[in-house]
Amino acid sequence: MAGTRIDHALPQIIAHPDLAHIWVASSLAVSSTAASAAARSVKAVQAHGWQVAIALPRPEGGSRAAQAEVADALGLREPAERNLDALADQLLDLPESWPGCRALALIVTIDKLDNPGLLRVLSDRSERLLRLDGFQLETVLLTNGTTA
Amino acid sequence: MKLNKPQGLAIIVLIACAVVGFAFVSLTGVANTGPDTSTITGTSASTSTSTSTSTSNNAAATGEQQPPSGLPSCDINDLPATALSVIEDIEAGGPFDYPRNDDGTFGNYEGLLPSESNGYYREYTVETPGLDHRGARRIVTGGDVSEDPDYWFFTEDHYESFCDFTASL
Repeated sequence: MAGTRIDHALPQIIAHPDLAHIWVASSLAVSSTAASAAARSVKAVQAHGWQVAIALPRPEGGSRAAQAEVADALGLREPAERNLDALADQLLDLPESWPGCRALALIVTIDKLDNPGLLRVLSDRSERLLRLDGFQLETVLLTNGTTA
Repeated sequence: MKLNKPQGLAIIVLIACAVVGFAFVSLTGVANTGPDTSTITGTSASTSTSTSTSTSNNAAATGEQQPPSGLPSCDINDLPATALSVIEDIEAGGPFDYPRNDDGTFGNYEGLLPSESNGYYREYTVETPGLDHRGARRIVTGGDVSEDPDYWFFTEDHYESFCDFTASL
């Protein structure tokens, strides 16, 4: 079952100003723990036909820790957790590694938007997956109130 | 057994020749004519210093020219057999075994290959027999014409290291 538009499932999110398929929800994480904010988002997008992967990187972990959590959440093989080129390559295998899924929401809690490499990879590959395979991958960043 | 004087002299000369010959072989490696059992090596962000030094020393010793990429070179004959059919597919302009993945842009996000404009590098899957997924082996090409690349690179560890080869099948 294909998902509807992700911003219909999560009306609070706004599109990233520069990167397609990347969404930011600063209000969702305010005044709540990252995990509970993620849990509420999961229910909302699942109700709209999306499958969900959740990455909860440690706020102090830095960009590689965030990458590692994303790779783990999506079920990617090593060295995707430490090599952006490997991560980019394996993202194109998501239709096989998530059988039956045609719409995947990646929910990432993130303290600030300081990981341009990872976000660009996710954006580029999401566009390619959609264009070549009709597979929807949308990334929702639950930020701690930090502006995009 | 008792030797007479000419026989003793001949034995000394033979021993001297053997010693000189052994020393020559040891210093020049002339006797190392067996098959090349070296494995394909590459350079990575974490090991580039030591590998580059080693490669540079080897190149200096053999008089070889360093490839333009600065990466270690590998012989096409040392690549996995499955790589050769991929090279043929690339030079034929496809079709490819993995249409969604192959002939797509390689981002060079980690910067292990020389910096070029977006779209300069392309990537291709080299299958690893026995695996039920695409494995870690890839060919990356560089150039403006995908069927006739200027540069060829091979990685066997999913872009953690590369070597540079010439595709003259």
